[in-house]
Amino acid sequence: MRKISVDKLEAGMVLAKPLLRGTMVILGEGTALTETWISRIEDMETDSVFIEGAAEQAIPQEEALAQLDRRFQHVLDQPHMMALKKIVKEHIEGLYGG
Amino acid sequence: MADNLELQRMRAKVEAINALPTVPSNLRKISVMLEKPRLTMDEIARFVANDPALTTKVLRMVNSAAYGFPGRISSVSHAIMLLGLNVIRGLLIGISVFDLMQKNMAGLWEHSCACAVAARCIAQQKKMKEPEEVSICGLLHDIGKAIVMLQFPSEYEQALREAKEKDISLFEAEKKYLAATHADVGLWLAQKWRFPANLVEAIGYHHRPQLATQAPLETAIVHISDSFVRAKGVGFAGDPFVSTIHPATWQMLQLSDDEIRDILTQIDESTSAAGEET
Amino acid sequence: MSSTILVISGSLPTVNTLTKSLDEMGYVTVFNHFSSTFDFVYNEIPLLMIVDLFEEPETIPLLNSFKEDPLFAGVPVLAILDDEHTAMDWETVHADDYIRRRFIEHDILMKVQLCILRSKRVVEVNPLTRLPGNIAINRQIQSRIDNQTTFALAYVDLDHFKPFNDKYGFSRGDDVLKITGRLILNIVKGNYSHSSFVGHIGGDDFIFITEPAIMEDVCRDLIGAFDHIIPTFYDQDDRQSGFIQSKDREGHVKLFPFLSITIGVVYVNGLHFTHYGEVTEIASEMKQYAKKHAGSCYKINRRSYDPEKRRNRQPREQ
Repeated sequence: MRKISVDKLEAGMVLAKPLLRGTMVILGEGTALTETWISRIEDMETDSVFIEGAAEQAIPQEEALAQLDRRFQHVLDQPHMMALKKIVKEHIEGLYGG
Repeated sequence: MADNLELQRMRAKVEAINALPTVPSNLRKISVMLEKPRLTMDEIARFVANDPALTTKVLRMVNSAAYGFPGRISSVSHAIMLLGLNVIRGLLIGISVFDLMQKNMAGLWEHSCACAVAARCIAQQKKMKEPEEVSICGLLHDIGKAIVMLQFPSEYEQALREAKEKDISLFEAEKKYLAATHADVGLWLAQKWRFPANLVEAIGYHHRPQLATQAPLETAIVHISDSFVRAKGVGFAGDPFVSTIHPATWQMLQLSDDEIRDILTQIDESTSAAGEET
Repeated sequence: MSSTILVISGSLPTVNTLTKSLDEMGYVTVFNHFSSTFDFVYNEIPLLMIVDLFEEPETIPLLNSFKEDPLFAGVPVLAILDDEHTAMDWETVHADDYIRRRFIEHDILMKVQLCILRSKRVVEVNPLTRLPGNIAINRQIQSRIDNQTTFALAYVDLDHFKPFNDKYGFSRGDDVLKITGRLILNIVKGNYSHSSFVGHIGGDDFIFITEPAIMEDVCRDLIGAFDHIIPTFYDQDDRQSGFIQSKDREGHVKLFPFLSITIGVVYVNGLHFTHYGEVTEIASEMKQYAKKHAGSCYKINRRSYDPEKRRNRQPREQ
């Protein structure tokens, strides 16, 4: 899921988290947004909503992982840093739907 | 090794600084905010806390001799409550086009905002009483770099180039061209502006957290947040490298794998939302 | 004490004359627009401000807004006028004195010296919070009674202040008082109520006046803000435990909870009162009653005032 600002909403996007006004649920998660709903949401005070789907990543996955290797190149000999790298690698792969 | 005179001269020039530049898109938002008939403290606090320049201004003001309680406040929402809406309006009005930053600072600001998010996340995970204050420590930890960029642009350029060519960190490279590091510079200003001890130490010791005596936990959190943000590659703080997390610090915080994953996700969500706003 | 004289003018000849003439008085700092000064003044309160009043439309509203804050109300402001300004409504312009541009060279030095001296013979304000003291407070209440207006008056003090002072020292205690004053001011004034008033009686006793309609909101906001900030005044270990160890009035070591704020409120219909003391007395009683409850709270006396019946009655919350 990803968070996008209200002015970038398009019909067909699916809510990943329920839309609340205070504690009251206005739209449940899983709802596909229509133009009508989008203009109602714009009238509310919300700045952004969570929608389903991975964010479009700016660069391809191979590039992203290569950059990750480059970033960690000075700490290869430290086990706790390599453990961290592993977690970050999994996180990045997750962003690409991995 | 820098001699004392050189250090003093550098310090004097650092302390002469007046204002940090703000993000261009914020200038537009400021005019929108000022036009609202009823601005709430919450709205303002949220807005200010996302901009290191505004945050620095507000904290500097509330900790100044004029108000009479220096060294007390490191939370933006507290600062806003104490300064009051009129004063904040005045501050926002006073920001002009000349306060806008150049491109290379934008990368630094992005890095800083992501650090704020990571720091808050860790503070909440550790059930600390004031996660907002820790978040601000993350937000402002690298203001020393912004100061150096403004007051010593050619030395900074050289340090950047050296870091790039030799594949080393900026922290290493700057020692060659400047009498003091960006951490020292930040420390001087934080002390001059009477920021509370936790903020002073986080800014001054985020590269060497073992030196923190009054706020070891906050400093540790900022030290680690800095590494996490670099690991994710968010923004640009002068070099792309992940620095070693001090082993004692890593031990102190004992973050679980799940907690780390959570932090990375939070950084992600905040930056994707921020990216949409330009 | 600052020794800076602030000049706000975009006219180069005027600025030059001022800078030259005032050189011996102190450091002169020049700004071209009022809006650019906020950074400076909020960090260092100037000795005096010289303002080119009609140069820009924004100047007067910004000046008024600035002077409304008690912290800066004491800064003398000298307005520069031109010959065509022959009638001024000084009620709507918060300057303290004026000088005509063509007389600057001749008169400015003496004028500035006199302005600064005059501002030092200051209206009674509390030295810590710079809020108005008893004289102003009583005058405010009395005038509302005389005009038979309806208003709400709140009497505020802090619980467990003495043990806090004993443990952490007077300096930190003073900081708490300054912050309390600042919070009351911002919250009361922030509601854009022009008929409101905030005063500092002394020590940890404050008073504020608002329209009855907004009083409860103000009390709630104030309690919320105070409870939110006050933990930061405690050392780490005390903050974790939620209490401090200190001596009570008999000298016994006791545990005390965090500082809390107590507010006693009275709603006043001006018709029923003749003297300000009658009002403060009731508010004080409500505050004493509120003190019986642990933690921060407010209690309101809404009953219409009957001087005969009041003598023999215990105060009760309505």
